[in-house]
Amino acid sequence: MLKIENLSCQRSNDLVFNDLSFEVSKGTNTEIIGSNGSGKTSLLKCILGIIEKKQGKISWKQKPIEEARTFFLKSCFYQGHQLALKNNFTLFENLKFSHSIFNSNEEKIMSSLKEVDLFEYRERTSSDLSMGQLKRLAIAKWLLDDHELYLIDEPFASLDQEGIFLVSSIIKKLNSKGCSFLFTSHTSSNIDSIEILLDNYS
Amino acid sequence: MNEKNTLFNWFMLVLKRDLVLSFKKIATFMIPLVFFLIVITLFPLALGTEGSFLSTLSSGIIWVAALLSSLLAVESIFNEDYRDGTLDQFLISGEPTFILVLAKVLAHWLVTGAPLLLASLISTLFLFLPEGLLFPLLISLLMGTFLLSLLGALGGALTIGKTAILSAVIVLPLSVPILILGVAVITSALNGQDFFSYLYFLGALLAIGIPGLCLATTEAIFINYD
Repeated sequence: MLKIENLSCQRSNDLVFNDLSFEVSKGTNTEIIGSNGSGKTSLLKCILGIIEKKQGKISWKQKPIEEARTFFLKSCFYQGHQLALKNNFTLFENLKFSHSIFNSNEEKIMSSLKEVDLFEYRERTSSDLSMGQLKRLAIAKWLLDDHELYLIDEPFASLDQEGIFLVSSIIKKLNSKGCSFLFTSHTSSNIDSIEILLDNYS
Repeated sequence: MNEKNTLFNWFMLVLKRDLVLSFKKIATFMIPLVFFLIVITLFPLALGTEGSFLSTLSSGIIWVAALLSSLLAVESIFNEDYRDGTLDQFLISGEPTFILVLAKVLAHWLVTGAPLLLASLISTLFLFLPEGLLFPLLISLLMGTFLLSLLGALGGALTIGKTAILSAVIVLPLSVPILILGVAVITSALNGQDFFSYLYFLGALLAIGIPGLCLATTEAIFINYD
C-alpha cells in the first residue's frame, strides 16, 4: 500500500536519516523506533509532504506520491506531537471542528467519546483535561472515520496502563477493518507490528 | 457532491470554526475594538477639544488607530493553529490552501475589521466629524480594513513560529498605500472634493489584493512551514 524506497531526509544541512526502505501493507502495523532526534517525526512529515525529502521514492498504491498526493492525503490520518486540540473548545466541539474536515456526524462523535471514556466530559472545555485525557480525546478522532492509513507520532506517550491498553485495542479493532498503522515510539510496544529501528539509518 | 460545493463547504467549515473560536476567546475581538476606542479617545485629551481642529485631523487619527488595531490579532491568524498542530491538519487535508487562507482572512476581518466600522461611528462623536462624512468613512474603512486583514495574513504566514512583533514590522510598511488612500478619501470629502477616485483606487487594490495576497500568503505558508 505505502512503499518507501531509499528515502533520505535533511533538515538544516543535517542528514536526519538515510537510505530508508520499508513497506506498509493493508491491515498491518509498522512501528518506527528511535531515540530523540533520530527523525521519527521528520519521517512522518516527509511521507505527508509537510517537509521535503532529500532523495528516495514514496509510492501509494503503486503510484508515486507526487501523482497520488491528494488521494493519499484523503485516505490517511495524521496525529503529530501537537494534538490539534483547542483549549477553548469543548470536547464535543474539538471533535466536531477538527473532524468536520472529514464530515463526521454527531452520532459518531458521541460514540467515539464513549469509546475513550470521555463521554461524561463532553461539555467541558479541553483546558479542564489532564495530558492523558487530552491524549484520549485525540485518540477519539481516530474513530470518527475509517482511514486506510494512520500515521501516529508516539501514540503511547503520556498514557497510563489503562490508556495504553485502550490504544492497543483500538489499533487492533481498526486493523480488523483493514486499516494500517505507521507509528513511532522510543521503545518497542506490545502491538503486533513490523519494527524498524530508525537509529540504524541515521 | 460536486467540486464547487466541496470547496464552498471547506471554506465555510474553516470560517465557522475560526469565528466560533474567536467568540470563545473574547479577547480576540474585544482587544482591537477597545484599543481602537482608547487611541481615538486619547487625541481629544492630548490635543484639546476644539471641534474644527479635531475634525481636520480625524481622518488620520481614525486610520492610524484602525491600522494599529488590526495588527493586534495578526498573530492569531496562523500562529495559534501552527503551535497546536491544527495547521498540520489543514495542510494535509488535501483541500486547497488558498481557500483556507481566504476563509481565515474573512474570519479575521469579521472579528477585527467589522467591529471597527461600528466603533468608527462612535469615534466620529469624539472627533467632531460631520455627519455627511459617514459614507466615505465607512466605505473606505470597509475596503481598507479588509486589505489590512489580507496583509495581516501575509505577515502572519511569513512569521509562522516566530514572534508577533515581527509580523507587525512586516505589515506596517506594506500598509502605507492603504493608509494614504483611506485618509485621502475622508480628507477629500471633508474639503468638499470628489473622493470617489480614491475609493476606486482602494477598490482596485482590493480586487488585486484578494487573489494576489491570498496566493502570496499560501506560498509564504509553504516556504515557512517546517
